[in-house]
Amino acid sequence: MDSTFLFSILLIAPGAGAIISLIPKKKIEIISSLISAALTVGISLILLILGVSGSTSNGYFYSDGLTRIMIITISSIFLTSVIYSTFYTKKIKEPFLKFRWYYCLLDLFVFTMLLAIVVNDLGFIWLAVEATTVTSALLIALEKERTSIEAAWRYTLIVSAGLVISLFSVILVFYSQGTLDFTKLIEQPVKNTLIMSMAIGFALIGYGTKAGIAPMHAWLPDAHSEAPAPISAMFSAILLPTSLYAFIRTFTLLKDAPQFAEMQSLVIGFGLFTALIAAIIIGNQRNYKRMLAYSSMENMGIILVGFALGGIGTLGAIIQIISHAFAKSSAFYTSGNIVIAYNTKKISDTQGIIDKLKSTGYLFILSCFSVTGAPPFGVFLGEFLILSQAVQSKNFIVAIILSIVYMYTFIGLNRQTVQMVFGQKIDEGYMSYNSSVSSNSELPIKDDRTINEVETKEKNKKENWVSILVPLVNLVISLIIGIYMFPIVLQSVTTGLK
Amino acid sequence: MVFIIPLYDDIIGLLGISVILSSLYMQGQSYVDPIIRAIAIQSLFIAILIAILFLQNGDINLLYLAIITAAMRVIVFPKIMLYQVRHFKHSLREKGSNQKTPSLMLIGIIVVIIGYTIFKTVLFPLIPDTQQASIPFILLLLGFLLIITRRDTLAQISGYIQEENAILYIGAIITPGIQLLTEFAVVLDIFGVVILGVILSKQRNVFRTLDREVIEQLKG
Amino acid sequence: MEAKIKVPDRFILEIIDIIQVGTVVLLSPLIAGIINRLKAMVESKHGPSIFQPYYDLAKLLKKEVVLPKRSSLILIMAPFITFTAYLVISLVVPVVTPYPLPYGILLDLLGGALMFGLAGIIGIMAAIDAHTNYTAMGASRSASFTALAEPTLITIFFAIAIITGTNNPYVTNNTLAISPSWYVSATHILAMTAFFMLILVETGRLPVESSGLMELGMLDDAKIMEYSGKLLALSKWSSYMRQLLLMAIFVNTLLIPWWMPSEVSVLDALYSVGILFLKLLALILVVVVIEETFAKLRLFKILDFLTVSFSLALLSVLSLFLVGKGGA
Repeated sequence: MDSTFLFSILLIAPGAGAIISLIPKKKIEIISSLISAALTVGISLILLILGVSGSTSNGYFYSDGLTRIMIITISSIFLTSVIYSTFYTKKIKEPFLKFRWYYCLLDLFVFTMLLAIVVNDLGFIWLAVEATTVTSALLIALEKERTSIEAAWRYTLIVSAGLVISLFSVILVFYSQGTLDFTKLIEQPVKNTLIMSMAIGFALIGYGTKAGIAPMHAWLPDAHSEAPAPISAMFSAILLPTSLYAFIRTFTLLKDAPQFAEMQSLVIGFGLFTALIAAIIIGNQRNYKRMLAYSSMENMGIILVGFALGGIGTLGAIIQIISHAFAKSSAFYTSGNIVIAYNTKKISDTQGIIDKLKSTGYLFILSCFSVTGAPPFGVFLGEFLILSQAVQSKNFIVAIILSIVYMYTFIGLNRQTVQMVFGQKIDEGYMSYNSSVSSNSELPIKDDRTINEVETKEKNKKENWVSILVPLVNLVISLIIGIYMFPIVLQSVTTGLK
Repeated sequence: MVFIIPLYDDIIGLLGISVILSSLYMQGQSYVDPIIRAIAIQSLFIAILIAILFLQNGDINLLYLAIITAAMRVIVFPKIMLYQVRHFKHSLREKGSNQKTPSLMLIGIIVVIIGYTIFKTVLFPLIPDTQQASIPFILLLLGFLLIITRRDTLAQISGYIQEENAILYIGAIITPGIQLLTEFAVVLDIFGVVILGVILSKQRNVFRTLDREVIEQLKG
Repeated sequence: MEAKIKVPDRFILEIIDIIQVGTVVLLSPLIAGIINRLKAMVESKHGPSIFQPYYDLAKLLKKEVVLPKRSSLILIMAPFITFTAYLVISLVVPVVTPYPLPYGILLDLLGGALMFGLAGIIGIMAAIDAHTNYTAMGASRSASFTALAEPTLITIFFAIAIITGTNNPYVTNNTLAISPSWYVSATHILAMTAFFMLILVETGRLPVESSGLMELGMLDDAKIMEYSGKLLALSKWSSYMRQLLLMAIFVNTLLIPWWMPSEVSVLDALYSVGILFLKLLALILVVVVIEETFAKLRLFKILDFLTVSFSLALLSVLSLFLVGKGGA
């Protein structure tokens, strides 16, 4: 089977899903999105098993190991997000979009991300990354609150403006190399290395804006905290790595040039700075979705460092991408459950989740452990590999900063989540009294209606099997990656030491 | 098909400076209308510039590029934005902004100087083909300045289009053969952002004043 | 431009000098009169005679001088110094000849700009010295505007100096007259625009200032409020001369440097006065049209106007770096 066919199906599936979603018929949008998501997962599994690499015969697509990992990650998160959306969107009272449009944009969003991953042309990679902005901005505004609309606009503007710089980088690549075809770029020796390193600098700023690299991360916490949970999950788990991937594609072109070492240290510097900033900010967050967003930023910084270090650092970065994707999406899904149950994003108002939502509470804390690199999970392996590469390549300062970041994030984030899950609600009587007053302000007159409302609210707040199963599956996958990869990692580390 | 254009360098230079001038004019405006018109005029200058480059080089891609630019950036995008201003009670003026927009113009001049210095010291050794490559770079910085200093959605979109203009400009100057398809895609992309801006700005207008609480929530 | 001057020519040159200074001194009230008349005509009024400024000056020269009690010598000296400064400038700028006159070495364009600045600062000092509210107000206003107008003027002269490689107004005139490609150069266009805006400011035209005795809006007229008799005549005359000089520099060195007879002869110089008069008439027409179409700016908006003019001047210098020197 020609791999062009597989890639085409991979792209057509979400595209067709998007179009079919718009047919005005009940539930069709959910069914079509589910089918297209399942199809992409299937195709990406086939691609992974076949191990398709190199460019396709017509030169439209390119794939290597990283590509295949990215594809399987994106399609899995796509599938879980669609399933979780069926639960989450029901709880939104006044949506910004019709749900048809929501699913259509969701499919298109995935389509653009997949395009950015598989296409064999730097110009089109840029285009696809930019198109993800256009397709995803309205998804952030779904809940139609002031904050979410403001966040959507900030996201659109900051990211688009930033990506213009990476377009400049694309032009510089074309100017210096004479082509944008990725296969040709890899094959031919790099020319005009000075301009190329300049191009990589611009690419770092441009794609870094989208990947949440500090100091261009201003949009990231807003968008993540204001978007509906499935979208936050997709942003954090696959959108940020997609943007990093676009940068890595440009970055690897410089491999043999004399300026590579300088650019490497520049990239490591940006990565460490991002991770450090995020680690420092995490501890002071009062909004748990923002806290998770900063955790994503920290992970992206570490992944960037891993790629820049090279060697087994690259392997670590790849493991971290995939395991962070599953773990973080699980964390965001559970945070969606919490948002629905408590109707607030403040940490101080969501103490003692375990009493109210038992399984959600356990899932939430486990996935938070997972994203911060607790041992059996995949993120730990990734972080460990990157650290060991830093030590092996004698970048001790990098290693020290990395260890500080790991520690600080773990303590900073989990201190808060433990309190959220197991903490005692301070003066519970007062809280419930207060909330009953605010919701039953017309209590004396319309007694029955308010009681009914409270009852229906109670009914809505219950978690159902979808809201438990989806994060659970993702968490388990993250665990499996950790366990399955452990021998491989052990082997590579030991060989690396020899 | 190559024409010898009299005073070629002068005309190109004049167009380049006109582009910068239109950008500075945008900095100095506190109303939305003139900013949108200025972005149309700026795009027109760039379209003319590309057309002249085409006459000089005879590269047919440049002609298409000029036509796309003239059609989309000069006519379609400003039309959409002006439609938004006319029909959806978009406030004509920056609210709560400082009145000292001409001082922003001076800041713009300073940005021009800074941009030129950066270009001369950092980039010029790399792109020695033409001295005019500094203009798009400066235009890029001015676009950022416009986005930073405004809160109005359409003004910010204008800043974004200006940045894309800068990229178009430098692309036309240093790499005449850049794929037309890419440029076409870029235009579609701006289209997407403009539409997004229009949709979101409708909602932003509903909640015109951002109260403290909202800003508090999007902090940290 | 180092044309060898033959000895007999020296005498002719002196005569031409006198013609040039005489032109500035004698023609300037006429220009003011024409502007006033034209404005009146555009407004469908009859308006005063174009010789009205002469009558005014003659009348004022006959009257006695009354000075405020608390004023000092500066108030008395100021009109003389200002008048002299403009006389000096009129010796050195190309008003009637495209070649330098014997005293042309005294000042270049930058020196001319500083001379204008001197006249301005003396005027402000005198206004403060008069110790009345209106003059003090005029002084503070014109000081704050001059703070932007003066750098603009100097920047414009920088631009011109960079174009021609010299500060000599005569060389500038020649360079521009020879190579018309300057007229599509951004530097030249921007410098001209900035200079034109500056002329509007300096000569007290709308949209900056409505000349007249409206206390709230007046700038220049406020400064000479306390003068009377001969001193007032001198002050007024100086301001007419400044107007003519600025316009002459504008038309002769920047805008339309052509048609100036280059032969060193008295007749040609006289003929050149006629040419200058026509050029000035054309400029006046434009100024009047602008004055009649624009509303007066609010006072603090004048600063914006000047900022724009300054930005243009600055950009005109910058454009030399951005797009190269251009020109043939």
